[in-house]
Amino acid sequence: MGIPRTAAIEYPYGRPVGQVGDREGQRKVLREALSVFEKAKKPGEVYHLPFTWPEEPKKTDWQPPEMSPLIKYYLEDIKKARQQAS
Amino acid sequence: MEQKKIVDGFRFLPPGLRAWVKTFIPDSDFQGYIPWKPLEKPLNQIMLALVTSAGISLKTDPPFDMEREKREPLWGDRSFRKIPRGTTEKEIDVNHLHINTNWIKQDINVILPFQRMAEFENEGIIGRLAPTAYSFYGFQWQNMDFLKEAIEPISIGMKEEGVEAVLLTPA
Repeated sequence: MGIPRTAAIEYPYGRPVGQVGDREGQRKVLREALSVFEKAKKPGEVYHLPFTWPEEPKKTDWQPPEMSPLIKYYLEDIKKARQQAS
Repeated sequence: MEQKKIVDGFRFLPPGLRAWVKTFIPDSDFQGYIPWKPLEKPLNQIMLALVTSAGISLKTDPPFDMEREKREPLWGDRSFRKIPRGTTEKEIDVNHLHINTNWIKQDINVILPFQRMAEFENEGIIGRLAPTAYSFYGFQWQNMDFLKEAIEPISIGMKEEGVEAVLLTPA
């Protein structure tokens, strides 16, 4: 898939702008993301935003309460992929 | 384009899911055609629209269809919803089987930042925030019909409002 311009951020899925109630943090992320409109000069450029989420991935609670239908459907493939990767 | 931090898009995935997703995401950059139009005016003169794939709907509209996806795991709702600017978390439903939707229900700005953009409009950082934002459902599994059924009408709506730039926040 091709994307005209990307502001990449290392935040948990579902909260790309920032933490709940964190007005200042959200503003900083959005200012940086908007700056990509003016910086990007050709299609497909990716700008990596310099922010770090304050919690370890396991503590971010981004996953749905129930395993998604897709994951259930492909569970055996996922287990195999994990074994092959380790 | 020197950049200090390189974002790890897999950081938040558990190991099994990370390994599996990597099996079908190519290592190389996309080589096909990418639609492109440079920003023709400074940001403080453009009308910006927000779009999210978070499955947000107004409580007064039908929710995205999760029940069919539970029966057909490779199917994702292809419809879209209009969300007027200024909408708050009290006025929305969020349906998405692949993320925890509770955070968005607590603060819509974590993915559809209406309040922050209204501030930027007042401060002259952007020209205008478009009257209408759009939400669709991010789980579209190898599905091109979605372009015709959702993206095309969304783009027509944006043209009618005079939108000049779009910020898409994915989920």
